[in-house]
Amino acid sequence: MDPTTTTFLCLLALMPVLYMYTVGVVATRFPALRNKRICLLIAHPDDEAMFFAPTMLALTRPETGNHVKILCLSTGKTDCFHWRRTHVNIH
Amino acid sequence: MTETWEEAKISKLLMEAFAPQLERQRASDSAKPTANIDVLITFDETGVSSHPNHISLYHGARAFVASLVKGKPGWTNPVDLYTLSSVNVLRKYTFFYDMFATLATFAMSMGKANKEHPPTLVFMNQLAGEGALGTAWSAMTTAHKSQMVWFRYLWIGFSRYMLMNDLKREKV
Repeated sequence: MDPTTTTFLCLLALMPVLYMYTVGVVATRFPALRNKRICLLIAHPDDEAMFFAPTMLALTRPETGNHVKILCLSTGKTDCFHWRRTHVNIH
Repeated sequence: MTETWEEAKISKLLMEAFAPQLERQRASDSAKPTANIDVLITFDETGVSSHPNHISLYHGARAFVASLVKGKPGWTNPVDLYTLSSVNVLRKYTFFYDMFATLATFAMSMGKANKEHPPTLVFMNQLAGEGALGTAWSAMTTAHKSQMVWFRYLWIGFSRYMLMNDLKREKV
């Protein structure tokens, strides 16, 4: 295997490690919301998990002191999809 | 489900929920506009997946936040509106590889750093552990089980939105 391919493959393999390190830095050093009353406005019940999971998980950590409400403007019911929602506790 | 929702209706709903006292405050010159939330978060103008409902939320939320200080020049807005950035299809399904572009976007926005009202917020999920990727996955596969058609597995497996969000503060 030539050096370029080797380097490339090493980087690819190390990516999860690099990512995990970055998450730690972001969580501690980046701007945050603390002690805020927050409302997440979504259209369909699964939006909070499909799109906003990182936001929800970060903002609801107990040490942030945030209070988060979700306001969902539909049940998302259509002919193909019917919601059967169980109570969600994502912790 | 696929139609556009009226901006005015959404704004009115948000007003009733979060600033019911606003009319009374507007009537008085010296009354500061207040709300019972500090931060409102929703989709950006492209709606992430271009869903009309998502785009409607953006416009409705903007209208609501703008109306809080309408006719009250000089007052700070009691609510900060943050929107989830849409990324192009080349980035959307690159899972954690999108971290580089996300961090670059963040770096470019930090020109005017403001601790109380950060211009950009970045949230990233860990790959393992409590409150990490597994929690995000199970939120979809258990709580929203009825939505897990086959292509949703592609979404939860490859989408950068399962791992990272960058929210931008709207200037309203």
